[in-house]
Amino acid sequence: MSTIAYIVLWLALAVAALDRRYAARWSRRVAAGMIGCAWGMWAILLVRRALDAGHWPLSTRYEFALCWVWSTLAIYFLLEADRQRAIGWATVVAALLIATYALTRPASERAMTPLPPILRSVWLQLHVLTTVMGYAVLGVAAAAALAALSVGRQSSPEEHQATEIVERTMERMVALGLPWLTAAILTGAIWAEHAWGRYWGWDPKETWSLVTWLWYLLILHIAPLPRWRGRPLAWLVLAGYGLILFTFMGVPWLVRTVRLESLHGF
Amino acid sequence: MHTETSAFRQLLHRLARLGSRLDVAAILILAVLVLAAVGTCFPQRPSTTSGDPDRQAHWEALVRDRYGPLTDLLTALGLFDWFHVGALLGPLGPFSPMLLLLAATLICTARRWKTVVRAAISPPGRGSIATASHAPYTARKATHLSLPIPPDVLARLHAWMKAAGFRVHVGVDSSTDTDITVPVIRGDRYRWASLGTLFTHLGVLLLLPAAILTATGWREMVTVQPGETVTVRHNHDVRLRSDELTVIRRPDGSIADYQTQISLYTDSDVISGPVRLNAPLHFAGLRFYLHHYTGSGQDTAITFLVTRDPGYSLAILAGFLLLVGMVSSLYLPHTSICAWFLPDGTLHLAGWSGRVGMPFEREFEAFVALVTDL
Repeated sequence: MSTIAYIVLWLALAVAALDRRYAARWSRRVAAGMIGCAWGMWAILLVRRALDAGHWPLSTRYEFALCWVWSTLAIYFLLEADRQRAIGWATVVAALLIATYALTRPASERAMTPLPPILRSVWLQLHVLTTVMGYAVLGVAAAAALAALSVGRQSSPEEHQATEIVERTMERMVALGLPWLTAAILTGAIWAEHAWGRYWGWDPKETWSLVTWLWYLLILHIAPLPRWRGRPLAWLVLAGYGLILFTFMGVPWLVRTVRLESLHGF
Repeated sequence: MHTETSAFRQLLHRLARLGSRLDVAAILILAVLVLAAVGTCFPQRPSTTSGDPDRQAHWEALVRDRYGPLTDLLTALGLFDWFHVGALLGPLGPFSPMLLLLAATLICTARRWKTVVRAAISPPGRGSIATASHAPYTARKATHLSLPIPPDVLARLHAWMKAAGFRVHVGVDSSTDTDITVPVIRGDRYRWASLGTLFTHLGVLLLLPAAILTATGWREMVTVQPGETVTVRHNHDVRLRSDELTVIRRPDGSIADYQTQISLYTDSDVISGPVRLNAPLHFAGLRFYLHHYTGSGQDTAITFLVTRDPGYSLAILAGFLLLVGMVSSLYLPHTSICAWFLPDGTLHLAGWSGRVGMPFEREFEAFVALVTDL
């Protein structure tokens, strides 16, 4: 099932790339339909996983990644699909990155396990949900940044106007995503207090969550400055997504390499 | 003397202006971010080594084995105790980026609060026709209307604005060079959302006292045998007794949950209640967490984590202020719409929206479309 969903996501990328090239009404419909089809497949995958596991599919790194892919596509559909053709292909690229990571996890990480007692907390569920929402919204922001950067500097007036719309979308997505990251850190702090007896412990995962949050806070402060508008801001937003990816995928590697202590399972 | 005071005031004024600049804030945020990231590149001395020479020596041997001759230098730079002293104060003491960022936040808040509060409580009156062309959203539409404006037209615009959640005010704008006053209908929405910035800044500022208060707290492990009463070392007034441990297992034998019944005593008070994972018991300003257990049956020894953290509530309050401030200023931006009725029948429209969080273009387009249909 997961392999089929993954293939559909690649097909969606191909069709969205065609739509970018032809920019016709038929290609827009086919691309939106294909992305919708991919979103539906991931929804089915998640529901099946939840039913089989007997709990919300948010308790392992693999399950989190599945939710992240689904949420990224959902945010695109909810907020932008009806008017933003330009970022469709880039959103699928952002989703594919996560999907590839999820599906290349070893079998031990993909196995379904009973929920450990420590993970049974409404605050943890809120923490993971807000995190996945924040990552998804900022994933769409990164997609908009990628789309804006993919247009050459010497673009036509029409392309320039379209790029301005994409850049506005990017800024809007950053503004929408940051409160979710804030909520994620706040709910995580409350859960950490309930579970570990401290709300903040400079655990590597916590520290990199803070680094990511500060990065987007920096973007919000820089966005109104005229000389940072446009391509420089798009690079910053793209780098922000890089930080998110590092916080999720890179921190476990950092913990192993530097031999840090971490209480976070994922 | 007077000149010196004046120069000092000028310096303060310059510092205040510098502290409330967006690019300065961005640089300080970047510096704090880099400092935080640096701390994750080196192993940090575990808190369990303090007061335990054996553990301390073992940890230092591991670090020395890894970093060799660089160990002393890295230790002197505080890189193994980074989050105790480094990130907060750093080698620059009171000029550390984190403290400077807090100072900049304080300055920015002090400089802006009056303007923000005034904007939040003032009636809808943003923009004049003289400045309307500089608004982020503008449109001019030719109509067949003539002055005075028919009441049904005003009623339609009024109804549309009300339905969209705007506070509506109909008046005249005399800021033109002509002798004729221009009728104007104004609407604004979420004017109180501008207070969100103040909430956000206040949240950031409260994090420092919260961290200081937390640093005055303590943590300790208390291991109790069934039926035994143990005194908490950091607070001799409090005694703990664990009555029983219940382990709930799934059909496959794995542990689904475990909890214990504990009794807590002071000379004047006693409470009894269950402690589970993720559900500590609160008593006399302390929290009692079920940490782990060893053995089984009568030989079960239960270890509790006892903490006192006077900064927790303040930190969470700061977090909620940050969240409420961000949601109100980014999701519910202060938005204004104005329509001026010019004598030649032209309608001049302008719109402002505080932040980029929610799309305002569509709403403004709908307003323009409504006006076009008049």
